[in-house]
Amino acid sequence: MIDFEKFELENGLRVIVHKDETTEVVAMNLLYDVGARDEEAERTGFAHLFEHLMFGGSVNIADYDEPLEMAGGDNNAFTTNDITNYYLTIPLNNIETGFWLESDRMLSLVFSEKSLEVQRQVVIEEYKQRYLNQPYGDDWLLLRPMAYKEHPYKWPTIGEDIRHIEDATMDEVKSFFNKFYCPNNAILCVAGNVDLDQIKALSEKWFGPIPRGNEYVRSLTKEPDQTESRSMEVKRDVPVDAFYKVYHMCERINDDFYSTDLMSDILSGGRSSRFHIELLKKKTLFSEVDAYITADSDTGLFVVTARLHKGGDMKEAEKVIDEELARMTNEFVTDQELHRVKNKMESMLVFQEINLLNKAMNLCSHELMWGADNINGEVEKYLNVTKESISKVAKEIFRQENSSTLYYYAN
Amino acid sequence: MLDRITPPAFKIPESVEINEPNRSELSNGIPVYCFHSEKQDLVKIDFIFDLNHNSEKLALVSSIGSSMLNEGTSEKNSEEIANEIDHYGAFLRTQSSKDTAVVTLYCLNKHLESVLPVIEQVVKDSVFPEKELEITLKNAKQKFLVRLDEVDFLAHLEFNRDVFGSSHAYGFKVEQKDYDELTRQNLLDFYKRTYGSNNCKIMLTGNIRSNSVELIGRHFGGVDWGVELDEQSEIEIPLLSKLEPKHIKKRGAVQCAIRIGKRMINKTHEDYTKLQVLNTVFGGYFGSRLMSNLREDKGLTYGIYSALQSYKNGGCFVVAMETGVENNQIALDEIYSEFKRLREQTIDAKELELVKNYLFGEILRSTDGIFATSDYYKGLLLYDLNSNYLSGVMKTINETNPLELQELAQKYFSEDTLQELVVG
Repeated sequence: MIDFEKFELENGLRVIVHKDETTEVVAMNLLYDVGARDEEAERTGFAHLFEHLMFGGSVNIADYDEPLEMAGGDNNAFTTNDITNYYLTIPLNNIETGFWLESDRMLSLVFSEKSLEVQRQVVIEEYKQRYLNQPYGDDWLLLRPMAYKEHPYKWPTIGEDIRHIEDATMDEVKSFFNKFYCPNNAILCVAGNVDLDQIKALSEKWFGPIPRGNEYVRSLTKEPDQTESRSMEVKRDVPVDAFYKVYHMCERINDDFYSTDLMSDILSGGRSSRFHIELLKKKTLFSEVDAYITADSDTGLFVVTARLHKGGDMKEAEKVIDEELARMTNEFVTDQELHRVKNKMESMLVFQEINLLNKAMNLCSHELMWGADNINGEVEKYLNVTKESISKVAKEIFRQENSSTLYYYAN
Repeated sequence: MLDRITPPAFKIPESVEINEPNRSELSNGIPVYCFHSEKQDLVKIDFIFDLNHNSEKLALVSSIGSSMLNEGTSEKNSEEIANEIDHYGAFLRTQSSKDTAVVTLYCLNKHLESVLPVIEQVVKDSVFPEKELEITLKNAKQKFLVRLDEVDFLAHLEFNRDVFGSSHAYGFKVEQKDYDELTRQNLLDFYKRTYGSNNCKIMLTGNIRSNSVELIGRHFGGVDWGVELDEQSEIEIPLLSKLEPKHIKKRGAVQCAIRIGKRMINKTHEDYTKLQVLNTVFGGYFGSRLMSNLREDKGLTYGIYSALQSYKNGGCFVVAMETGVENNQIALDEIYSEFKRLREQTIDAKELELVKNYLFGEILRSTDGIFATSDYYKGLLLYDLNSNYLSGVMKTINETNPLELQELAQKYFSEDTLQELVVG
């Protein structure tokens, strides 16, 4: 159970306060409701590039990190297809430093040419490090455009084409900021040994004067239902073959999400899971095999990945995986299986409450999706999953015409 | 009008303290360190076993051995063990590091009593079935082969060997054939000499109920699981002479991994904390000199850092980064010039103040809450240190001055002692 209080400033900034009396640090999480899905098709990778630029100096403060570190703070940020999330932790006494820094970069940036040039290079190095110079590093660069034909999930957060980053101009950067980085498009959570009144006063003082921005109305092209199975083969300089199969599934706030999530746990959550026992132990075809969900805001993906042993047969690999998925659609899961994954999920949700920053992030993301109140209803939703509801989602998801398969061969 | 230019006043905590845990003993002498908080109704139990560095292949044996602890006991097979632990929604992690093998159980309090019997069997009666070993080795070997495709991983293996030497477990560079040669007997020997009551410490963290320690005692407090501790003395880390700079080519790499560093003192040495301050200035945080120069000024890399790695019997210092192959030489030159600056110029007072404040914040973060505190304490136990160590660290950081740091840079970072490695 996570207690919190919530208020909204006149300019539209939503603020959540979580009191935790046992801690001497305070966590601030600032979520901006903009992700790679909000980019234009010709300017992909922008949300992420922008995340880097947010550290290049704001209108009144030349450097973001230095004053924060001087006050004992630490920070970072990440970008997904759905959101851009900034967070910091700082000794409780110095909480105002956090408000000062975060509000100034919401107010405006300096937009220095130097920062744009450097961060462009840094992002290109990040692209090389993560996607080009790793074995199988380009797998999601291939899978996304195969699974999504219309919806902007078809490009990764780093960008569809690195040239989009190379060609980014300062004008485009500015208009991106004006469009998305305004109080009415953001959610702040402060967690720690703090009082509501104190946070209200600090929020009014630092964020209150920032003008409300134009309302951004998200209208993304919906991904049409897939009617034919898709597949693709590549050959790469990697040690062994890999197999990927992805299926469309529901969005995060759909009731079916919980059944789908537990289904992925029954398939591959730990050593008692079906994949582990049937595919890793009884057949020695794979060195690794996994099933997981992307948990995206819009309709997401159910993902199966596997690495074959040297000399393993790709068609055989596909066949045994398909058989496991078919078993999920044709037979009910056992009561023991369901009991296990529910108990594990319940434990995990309690473990997640240990970490202060984690709580702040989760409160923000729930607030964005469907109101922070829902964070405390999660356990019950998982406990309400039945073998019938799992069977229903399995039948909907595991259809060949709903799948995209990537055969990733070693040279 | 709101003043957005002047930073708000701030205050750095003058001292950070952690409470010494409540210490008790099981009837067989195992020390139990308790970190209690009523916040969440869950508990984490660490069983910590020291490793004896008596074989250069320890790293592989201990990583495979610890990962297979729950793959079979004389009563239960792998699947039955997993089913039972998962039935109670518990999580069991069995792993090893350079100096310890640790078994960790995470569990809601309401299930603790039910899950302990199977944990007892796993810790005290693991049998390493031949069939499971075969599968584990085959899969582990392949994951290893995939990782050999990463420049960063290659650099990590090679650099460790260059620093610690292949005759010691810290530096032994695992190869494919080591997976093929590993036998069940190797694992049994390792198990028999490691997982015993006379080589065990227990840490209990979370909402500790009045009967929790007694419950643990019921399963782990007997004299039935002592082990023959290794009579053989530990292998010494060899004295090595510095190697020529090394460049290992990797076909098709678009980035290369760089390592520069050397053997270094560990946590027990009197210079360690000051060196930690110096390392932070150099490459230990986002605003460090290496990050500011190579990333934020020149855009040469996604990230660069330096670190002091402390182990029980030694330590090392390393600078690590990945950069486009075309920028390799520029990056190396910049790193060496930053070393030179550290040796030849005293650190500006403002920069040092910032680093000290940042470090205080880091210490506060890494000891905030009982779970962080117990992890921090685990790092002290390895060196037989206790919570007093932390007050010493705070005091030393406070007192460190620029002149001392320059002397340390001259003492530890002279260019002719630094090992250079490039892979890519």
